[in-house]
Amino acid sequence: MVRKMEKLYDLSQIEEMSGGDQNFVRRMALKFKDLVPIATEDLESHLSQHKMEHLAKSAHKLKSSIDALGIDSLKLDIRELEAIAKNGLNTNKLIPLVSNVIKVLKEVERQLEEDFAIN
Amino acid sequence: MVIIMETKVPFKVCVVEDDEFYGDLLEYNLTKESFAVVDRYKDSISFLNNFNEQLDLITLDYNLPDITCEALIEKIRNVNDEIPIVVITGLEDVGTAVKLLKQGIYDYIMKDENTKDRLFAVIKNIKENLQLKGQIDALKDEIGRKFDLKHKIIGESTAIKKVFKLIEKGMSSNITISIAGETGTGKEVVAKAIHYNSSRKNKPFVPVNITAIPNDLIESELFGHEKGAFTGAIARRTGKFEEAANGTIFLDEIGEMDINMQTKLLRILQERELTRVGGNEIVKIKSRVIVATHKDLGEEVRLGKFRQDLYYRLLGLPIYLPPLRERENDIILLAKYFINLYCEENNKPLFQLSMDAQNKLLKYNWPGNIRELKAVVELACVMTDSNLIDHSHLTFDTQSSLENLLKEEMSLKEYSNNIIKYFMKKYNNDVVMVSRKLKIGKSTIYRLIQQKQI
Repeated sequence: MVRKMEKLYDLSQIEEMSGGDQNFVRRMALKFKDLVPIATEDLESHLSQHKMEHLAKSAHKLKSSIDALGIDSLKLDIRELEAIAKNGLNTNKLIPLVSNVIKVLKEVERQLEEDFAIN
Repeated sequence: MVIIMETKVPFKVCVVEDDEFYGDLLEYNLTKESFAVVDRYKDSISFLNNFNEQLDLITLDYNLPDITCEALIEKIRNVNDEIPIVVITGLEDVGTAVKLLKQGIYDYIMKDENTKDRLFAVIKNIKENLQLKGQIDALKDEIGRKFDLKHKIIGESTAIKKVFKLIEKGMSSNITISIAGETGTGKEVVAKAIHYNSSRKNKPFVPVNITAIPNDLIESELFGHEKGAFTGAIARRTGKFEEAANGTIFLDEIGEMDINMQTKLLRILQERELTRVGGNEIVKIKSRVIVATHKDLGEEVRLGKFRQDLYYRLLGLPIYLPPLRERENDIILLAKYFINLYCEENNKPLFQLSMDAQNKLLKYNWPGNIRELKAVVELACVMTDSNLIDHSHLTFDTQSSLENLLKEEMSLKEYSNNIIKYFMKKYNNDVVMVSRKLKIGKSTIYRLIQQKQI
């Protein structure tokens, strides 16, 4: 039996903001899906090049989008990632944090593709 | 009456946000629910290159890629210090919020589930402020029209035409103006006409009557005080100079100012800055100063009652308002103007002024000037039972006039000379006529003229 992966995002905040405008919800879902490859690439490259300031900025920028898309599993991680990259403490946690963020984001991208029937 | 039209001008917002996803969310909410017109920029350069001063609101992301938020706010404020700025950020930091609020931003909003509500509350407040500002501007325009020179200052005499020319010069410059004239000649009306027809017309006009303020309170009234500066100073209070800001402060009856206070006023006018009573903070003065007096300030200087240096500092453009008795037919023009006003305000058909009433008005001395004429005419309007005002409806307070004249306590010789002077003026310097009217010799009049006593 194949266990279906739980939904990693929740569009209710965007739905509530738009008053149930499904066209807008779909547009934002697509926009986020398009953002994922760029954002994950940025995180990976800043981490590998030890560009901590850039890494903090990328995490900061992602933070509001993750909140708006209701990706609850990343809400704390993205904040921790931003804080560590900014203040340079506990940097040993950066690699697992970045890889988890990337993994979840890629799964969200896949789920959005599936849910919104994007070819 | 002022009618304020509520116009449906779109609310214009500029969103500066490098996060495209979040920018879309903001734009959607602003356009769909606040009916705003939104411009979007991802960085400061494109925003500043397209900066439009007609904006109603700017929202800034705190973390922009090419500039700090603080620096961008400073750049905006260098161009326009009025457009409200709201910083929308994922950075929850009280210190930063306080710093930005001190820099003059309108609000600091966190990017969370309450952003939309907070932003809408801000827009609602700004819209209300804009509406109030519109109403205030309309009222100011109305006041400006009310003080339009041709409507407010009535007269065609040579004496008042000279005044018109000076008032026009006063309107087009920032020079200090000193208005002199007897009580009731309209000194405050002239000061307001200058202010409301000058480039400062949308700024405050703050009148201060020096005689109405006790000497021990005048410093705090004019310059303000700090909390605890003296017994009873329970809170900081801004003074009239600060209140006037970029407008006009009108110091009426400046000749009555205490000599010690004159010294303080002189210093403040020279330095263009003041400190509130009991304080250290320096406050810049940008207001225009107009002063007025019924006294001869030059004479007050000679008598040592008014500082000479302050006199010259305040003299600027001197405007002398002639007394009504020297304004020829203006008395009739003004009387008809006041009749008109009375009839309009009381929904009456326009009253006529009989010839004998006109003659009576022209013969009277008008010690209370325009203010007295207005009172006399209004009373006549009340007293008449028809649409005609005749001489019997005009009542003068002659006893009071005589008392006022006697209050001046001149010598008998001075009184005599003034009477002859008055008759000479009235009868166009016709010595024969005046000698006959006053039953004095012509040689007496010629001698006084020769001695320059009349």
